Amino acid sequence: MKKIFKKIIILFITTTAYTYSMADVSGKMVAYTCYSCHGEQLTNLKSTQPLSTISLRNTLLAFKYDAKSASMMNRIAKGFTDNELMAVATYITGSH
Amino acid sequence: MISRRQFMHLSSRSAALWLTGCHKRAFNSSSAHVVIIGGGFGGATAAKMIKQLDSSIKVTLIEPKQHYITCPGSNWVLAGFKKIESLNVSYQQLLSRYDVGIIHQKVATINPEKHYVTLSDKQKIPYDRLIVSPGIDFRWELIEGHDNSTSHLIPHAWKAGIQTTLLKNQLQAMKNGGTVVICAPPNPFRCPPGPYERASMIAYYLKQHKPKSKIIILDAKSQFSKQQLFFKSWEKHYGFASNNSMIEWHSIPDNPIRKIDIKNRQLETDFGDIFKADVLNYIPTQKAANIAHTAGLCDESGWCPVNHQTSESTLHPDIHVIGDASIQNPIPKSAFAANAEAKVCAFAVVNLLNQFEAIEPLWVNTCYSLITQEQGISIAMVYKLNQQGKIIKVTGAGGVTPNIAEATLTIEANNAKRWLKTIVMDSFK
Repeated sequence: MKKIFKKIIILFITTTAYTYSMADVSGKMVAYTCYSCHGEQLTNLKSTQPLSTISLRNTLLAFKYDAKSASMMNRIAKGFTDNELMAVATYITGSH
Repeated sequence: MISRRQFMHLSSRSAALWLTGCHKRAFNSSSAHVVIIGGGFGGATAAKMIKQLDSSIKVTLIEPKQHYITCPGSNWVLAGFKKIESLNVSYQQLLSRYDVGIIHQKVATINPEKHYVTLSDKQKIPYDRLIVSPGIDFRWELIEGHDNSTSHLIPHAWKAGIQTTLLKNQLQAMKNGGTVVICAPPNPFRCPPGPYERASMIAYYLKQHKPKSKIIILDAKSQFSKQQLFFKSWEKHYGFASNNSMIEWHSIPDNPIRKIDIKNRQLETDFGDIFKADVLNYIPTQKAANIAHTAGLCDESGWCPVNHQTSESTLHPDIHVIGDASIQNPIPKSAFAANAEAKVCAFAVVNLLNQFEAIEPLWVNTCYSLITQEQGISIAMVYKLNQQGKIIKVTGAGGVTPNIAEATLTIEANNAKRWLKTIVMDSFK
């Protein structure tokens, strides 16, 4: 019986550790990192044409999965989960 | 969903509340004062961003210089296609757009226990949270015969401004056929690809104006950032690795430079090897800026240890350290990184002052280097925090310029020039 308890405890600890693996970063935090290079561009975009969340997300996903190539953005987009790219697209199109 | 780290963080704060019966800083953020020491990329970004996130927080930036001169772009001045004046950045927009208070004075001391900073005119500035972003200073004690008092003769040019101009003037005065010696420092140091971009930019100038000249890099390291890209680009443009190479790279990690003869512009290594230069650019071994040392914010490494989720010093509570002075491995010491660290710090400071939940941090870094006026290379990485509170590189992300085709390197050079404008705008405007 003790052994079973021990196993359950070990299982609990390992699954807990797994569940707590790196959390997604918020769209706002990601967006502020975009502004280092794209601050002006994103501000101008707002005044010239509305940017759709889905089209921005699709562009970011295309960079991540190499369906679209650029000198820098493929390397950057691979640093984010798909959910984070969706979140940042939502934040940027909502706030700009 | 709340992460374990956030839970731990919040629960330790709640426990402290419960134990003391009241909160030590039970104010709302509108009465809070954040003081920032250092108006470089880190300090300026932190000031702007805190006001953007919560305009009710009072922010005061303390910086002795009336305007900033960016280190990024300063090697381009040596090449001759960038004017040093074009690197000037005003602090005016931080004041007019974001209501950041600016005091142009030097900080004399920090009192971490009583939470105030003393300025050089003895004025005391109290703070609720202090952000220290002071940059670097040099470990002159490691070299004989040379220190800050002779740096007008042997410029390091590792802080942009007068030093950059001194080095440029020496290059212009040098004869055709002269030897430029660049001493690249050991890790960790500000701008890891910097010495090699500098060699490229000096070679670009010499190739046009003094083609018989040579550049010798004496390196305290056995390898360096973007090494293969630099080597291949130097082969293409400056005959690297041929009998007629304009650039030579000598790695001497076991035979460090010990002595400088200022008068003869001559170096001596530990084993007694002598190198003679016409222009000598000795970039000293580095440490966190002196104010961080006198305030007790540094460990035995000479740099400032911090909690990576908040950038809060592990040695003094309520003081955050960002930029080159802080230990943020594996993030390199760069302007881009200081900007990214300032953002993580600003989120943390605003959340702590408002007693909001901590957020999951994220850092991006990109370092561009020019090889010629029109050709450039880059390295990039995205960083996150793991469960042990360590910063890690995100697997599969980042890396260097994907290929060395001329068209790619032209795009990279254009991006490098555009990046300097955007990072200045994002940090100061």
